[in-house]
Amino acid sequence: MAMLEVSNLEVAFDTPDGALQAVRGLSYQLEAGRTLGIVGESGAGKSQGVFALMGLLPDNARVSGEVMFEGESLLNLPEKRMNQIRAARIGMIFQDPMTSLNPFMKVSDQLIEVLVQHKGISRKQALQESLQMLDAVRIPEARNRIHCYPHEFSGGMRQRVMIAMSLLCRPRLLIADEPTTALDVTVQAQVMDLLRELQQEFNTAIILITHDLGVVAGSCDQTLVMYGGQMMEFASTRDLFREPAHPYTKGLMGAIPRIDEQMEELVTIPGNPPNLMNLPPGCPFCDRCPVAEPRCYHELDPPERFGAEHIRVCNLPREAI
Amino acid sequence: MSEQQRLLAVENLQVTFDIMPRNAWPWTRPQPLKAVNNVSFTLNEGETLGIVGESGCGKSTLARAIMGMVPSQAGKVVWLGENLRGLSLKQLRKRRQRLQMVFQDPLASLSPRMTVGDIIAEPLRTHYPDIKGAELREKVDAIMDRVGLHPHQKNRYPHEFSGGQCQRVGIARALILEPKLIICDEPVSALDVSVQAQVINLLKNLQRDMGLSLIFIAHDLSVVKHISDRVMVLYLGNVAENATRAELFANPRHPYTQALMAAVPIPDPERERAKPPVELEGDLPSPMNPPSGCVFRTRCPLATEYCGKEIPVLEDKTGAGHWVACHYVEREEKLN
Repeated sequence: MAMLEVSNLEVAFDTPDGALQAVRGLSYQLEAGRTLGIVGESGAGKSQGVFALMGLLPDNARVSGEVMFEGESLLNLPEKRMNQIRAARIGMIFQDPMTSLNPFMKVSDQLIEVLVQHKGISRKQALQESLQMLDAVRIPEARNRIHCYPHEFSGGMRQRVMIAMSLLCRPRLLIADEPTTALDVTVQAQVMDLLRELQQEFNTAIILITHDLGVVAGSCDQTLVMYGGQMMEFASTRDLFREPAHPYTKGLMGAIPRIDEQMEELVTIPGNPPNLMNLPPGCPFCDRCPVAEPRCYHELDPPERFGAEHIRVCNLPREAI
Repeated sequence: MSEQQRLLAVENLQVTFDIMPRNAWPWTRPQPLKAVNNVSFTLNEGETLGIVGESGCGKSTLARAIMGMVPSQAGKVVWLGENLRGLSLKQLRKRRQRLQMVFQDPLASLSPRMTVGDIIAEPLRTHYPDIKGAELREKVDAIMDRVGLHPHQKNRYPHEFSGGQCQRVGIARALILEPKLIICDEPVSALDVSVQAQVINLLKNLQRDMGLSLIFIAHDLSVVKHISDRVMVLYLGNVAENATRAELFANPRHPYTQALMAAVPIPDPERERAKPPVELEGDLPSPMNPPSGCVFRTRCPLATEYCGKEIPVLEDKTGAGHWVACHYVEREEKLN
């Protein structure tokens, strides 16, 4: 059985202007030690989909569906039980390391807090373990720098602190929400290398949320492409790049300027990402799809499975896109 | 290319900020931070210059110094044969008709209290107060249409638009005075991939149709590769390398350029995973206290003791317009 099984996850927010459906019928599975990439543009529901697993959604959110993590259903768990799972068994890294670390606490105190809370060890022991972890994420002079405040670190170093913190309790699953978006390319490459190494060392499964297909290509075993809150395509990363089977995936790949090839004109996807308040009843991508048919505007076929675990959600046959 | 008109020549430009050191006494002298150090380049009409570098390398400061939005301490900014440094604000404002800017954050660079139509019309109202009524409306409609906005959207406010549309408004505002040069400071960094491609293509088409020159600042080499004729790589306020696009990407000479290129993720699993691991360790050093000699030496895989003693000079050794500032490249050439 897979370590994480998400089936038919729905997330909606009650807003003054009506219900906003952020995630619709999302299902996927993740095996231990593997990496799943979730790609999409802003508003695709990438982050809300994983916030729902962690119970991090605000009060006006309604979540339904089922999430099984190592045999335990995560949705509707009492807060106390959820707190035992967070950090200890599921770690999380956020996009902006400056706003996700407490600016008033020394890094040492923030790291120790996690260990004392979840493992019940003494502060002295916790400091030792924190130091080892900072060494593991290759922060130079960890022994001195552990007593600094977050603002005294550079962006890349702060993200390393975040990674160290999320791995302190050796979680089985690490959720990384755009971990390198705020970083420079050189630092991004360092952080991604580090994540890959640590994954091997601790055998952690990773859900990597990103908008960057290049990052996905380098790190993910499987990739899920989301648009307008729905899954559009799911496949092993190699298959997805070799034979993208959805017009959105194809458009996305054509739109990236590439450093390894000379391209004259970028393929664009016309229009803008959809407004989730009034999505069409059919395919969320129909407005921007180059091959959309009239029926795409009011109905969407169930997921089509083919090849080795390749799934696509599209009304048109594979040859037609 | 030589018959093309020289639009802009920046010569040894220097921008220094005075920073109070931490825990300083009130009477302590502020310390200089060299944000832009001896930067020189030229730009011809119709050409696009890409400027790349990590955050904190002085890209934006350089752009603002060219526009005269931050004071520069030394050097020249020669715009159409005239040095812009030392001009009064009134004189500068006149030159800025032909020299416009597009900013990184599309929403923050538009006034939230003005309608999009007013935002686009404002430069015209400032510079040509005689243009009024129907003529003004016509001009605004035409430019909105040109950048891919519907003229009937002009009574809306910026918050009603998506990021990509806001960036189009910013571009329209820059275009309405029919400038010769637009400085784009990370115009697509805040946008989604699909929208990013739209804006890049729009800029390219505008350039082709209107004969614009662009200075395109980005931290993303692949974007710069797509749009530029020449590329300049900055590191800690210094020019590391400056070459034509084809030359730079085929034959990067400076170790920093090479490292930057190696760090760009390739959207192709096979190629991306076959890449060697990153060579570049650590972060940008503090510009308050830059390394002696070559500023890149603390992170350079090839650095020797000599690199700490002597500041490398930006030189065009081959005479083919490929400028590099590196001792290693010099040494290598002597060996050959």
